Amino acid sequence: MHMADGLISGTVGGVMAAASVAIIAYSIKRIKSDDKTIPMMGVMGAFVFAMQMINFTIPGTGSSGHIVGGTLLAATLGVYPAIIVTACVLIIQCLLFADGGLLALGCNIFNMSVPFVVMYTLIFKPILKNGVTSSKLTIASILSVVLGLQLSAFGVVLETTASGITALPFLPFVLAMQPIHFVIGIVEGVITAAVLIFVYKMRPEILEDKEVMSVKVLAVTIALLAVLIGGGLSMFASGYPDGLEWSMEKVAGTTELEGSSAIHETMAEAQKSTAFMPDYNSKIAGIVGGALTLLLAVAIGFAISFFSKKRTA
Amino acid sequence: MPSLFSAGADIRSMESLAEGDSVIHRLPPMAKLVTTLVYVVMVVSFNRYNLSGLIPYAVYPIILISLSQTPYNMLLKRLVIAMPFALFGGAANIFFDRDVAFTIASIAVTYGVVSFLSIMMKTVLTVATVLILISTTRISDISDSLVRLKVPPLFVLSLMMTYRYISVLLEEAGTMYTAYSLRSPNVKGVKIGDMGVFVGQLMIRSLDRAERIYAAMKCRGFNSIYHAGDSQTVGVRYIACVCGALLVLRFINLSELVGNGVLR
Amino acid sequence: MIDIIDLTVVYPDGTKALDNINLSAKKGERIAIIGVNGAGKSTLLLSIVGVVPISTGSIGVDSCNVTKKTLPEIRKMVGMVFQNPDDQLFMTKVYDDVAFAPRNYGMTEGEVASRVESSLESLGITHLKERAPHRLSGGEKRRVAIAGVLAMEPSVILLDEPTSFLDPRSRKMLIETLAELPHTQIIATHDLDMVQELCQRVIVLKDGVIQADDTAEIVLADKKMLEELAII
Repeated sequence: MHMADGLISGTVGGVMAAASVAIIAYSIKRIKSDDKTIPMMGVMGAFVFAMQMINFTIPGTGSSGHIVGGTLLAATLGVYPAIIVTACVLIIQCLLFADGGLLALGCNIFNMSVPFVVMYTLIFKPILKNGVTSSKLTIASILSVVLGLQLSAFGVVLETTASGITALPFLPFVLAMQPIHFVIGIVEGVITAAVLIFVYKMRPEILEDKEVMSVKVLAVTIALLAVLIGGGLSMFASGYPDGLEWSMEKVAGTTELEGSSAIHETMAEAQKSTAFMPDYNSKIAGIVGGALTLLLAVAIGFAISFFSKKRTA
Repeated sequence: MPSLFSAGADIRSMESLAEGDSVIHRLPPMAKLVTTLVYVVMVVSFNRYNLSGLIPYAVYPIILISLSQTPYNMLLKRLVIAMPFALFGGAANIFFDRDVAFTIASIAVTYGVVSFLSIMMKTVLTVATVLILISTTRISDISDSLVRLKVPPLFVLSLMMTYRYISVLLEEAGTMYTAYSLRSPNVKGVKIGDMGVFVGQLMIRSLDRAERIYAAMKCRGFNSIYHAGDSQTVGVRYIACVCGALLVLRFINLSELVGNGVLR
Repeated sequence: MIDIIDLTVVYPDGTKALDNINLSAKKGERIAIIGVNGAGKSTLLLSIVGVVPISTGSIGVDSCNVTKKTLPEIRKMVGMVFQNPDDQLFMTKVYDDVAFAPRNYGMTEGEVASRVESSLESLGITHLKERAPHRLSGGEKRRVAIAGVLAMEPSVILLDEPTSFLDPRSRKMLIETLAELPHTQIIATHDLDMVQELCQRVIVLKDGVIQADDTAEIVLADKKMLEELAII
């Protein structure tokens, strides 16, 4: 699921963008020496794009789905190229199809790459350490896709609730997201396994010697995950401490005070700060003015279109 | 997401738009890229209850749309794709956030409704602005700007190659899919049991293609360093004007000012 | 210009793709290589530009031997046009694609621009400069691919199936263009009509072995041999 700009806060968007930039920068450093990787990454990015558009049918249900492909990429390119390819695909999806927001790119890149490369390193690779068989490929694929997707879905929940834009409470959100993504994960895991088994039979060398994260990098990544999860949870916690501050934040918002300082003010003070006009009137003014502004904007738009068409005609 | 067959057409129509000519098309790509980024950050920074402050921000994309003559139906179609997640998160606000914010003609408007509207507004504004950027700027120009912004050339190159080969692989996958469905009547999509072979086949073909591309690159002297072209103009004045206006609108609630003026 | 002596190429899986090839090409000559699929046509071209490693024998271009060390030099002198332009044109703008090789050879942007202009002009496609390669027609793509090779100012051009994927008109125009280029050309193809129009000399390959090497008139007139080799 690609997160949209409408539901994230600047802080969450910024922090996750910084994390993703750091991860991509490190990945680029790790693959610079091998130039064959560049066309491989480009073509595999396009491949993921095309693959995601192949609809498959699940027998007996009549429903259809498509797959994401993080584990598939890690298994065929290695973890660092997989991160870069994922980022490229998400950027293009955001720009061309409005699928996922621009500021939300940091979140989306992080959610769609880090869980899968971590699971590839922690689970997939170790299972296949002593020789590749079809059953090992199946177990490794399903496990790493399911767990990766769980982590990924949890990331979406955490980033969304920490942003505090939606009022959707944490618990029901988690309880909705995790089971859905468990089912999706099983299906995607089965397909990933089938693809990898086919590729292994036809061209075993494709799956050989793929780079995983070193122990050090893995440790740093997991620490980063812990900090982000902890930070997210605490932001979420401080965002909704109790009913009183909850409502104060609302008032602070409508009276256009900056969020954090406003939380510490009382309702009355917040109102006083805009005392040149009572709160109620400011809202009405906002509505009337907002409607007028919007009308004006649309009118300007029409006027420009009208005159520029006239000029070209 | 669009389907295997519509995606190619969607990309082509977007590219045709970007090849058009207008004041907006002629702006320096760097200026458009930077202002779009700033715009999105500004929109996202609005508090979720600050709908009235957000509304004046609609002026910018509306002006861009009309100056560039970007067709509305394309924007609407893409907006539909972006909506579900925002709608889901926004609708929750109506449900969970029921304190009354104010009443108009004895109809109580809750904070939830206000924040729902502002989430929708934010989504529409950010999506529209990004789409306008892409429908008035060629991808190759954006990649030049990215190199100029010190994005590592290796990343820009793989981004561009991904873009370059999407249409090629969509066509390849589309042909495979057509051949598959012609031989498997009464099946919608690819049967899950055939996905391994189908996707695996496409993947092996893609990797083989990567080998050939690599050979062709080598033949033209490629040595793992990507050399980007000449840099374009930046358009500092455009960036300064737009960002300045956005900043002013960020901290002055134009809607309330207009409203006060009218109500008085 | 090109001297291939006792060239043998064995693939890692043990297949002998080329067996004891001897061939020399004079300056300005246009040579066709014909043969069924898998006869070794493409392998021969790829070995000249060092994409496929030589097992035994040698290839010399203007008295410079093809070795790992000389590859940058060789690839400057010998340009290769691949069968599928989509494999060759990987950039998002025609200009950048044609500029790819000059930039790789470290030229200044001024030199690059003049190289790009002149090679686009010689193929009559200056108007495509700002276009995206994937939005071009088959014939246009092929021309851009050739322009990308000409921008290196090579003395030899190798072409793998240049007329494949082309409609009759584009094919005709391409043949006319190739006839005008002064470069030494080695063309691997199934298109015997083009061979007749374009090439002075024809080499027939079968299972990596040269079966015939003569003027186009003589080879193309030998219907019996061509039929035996399943070429017609």
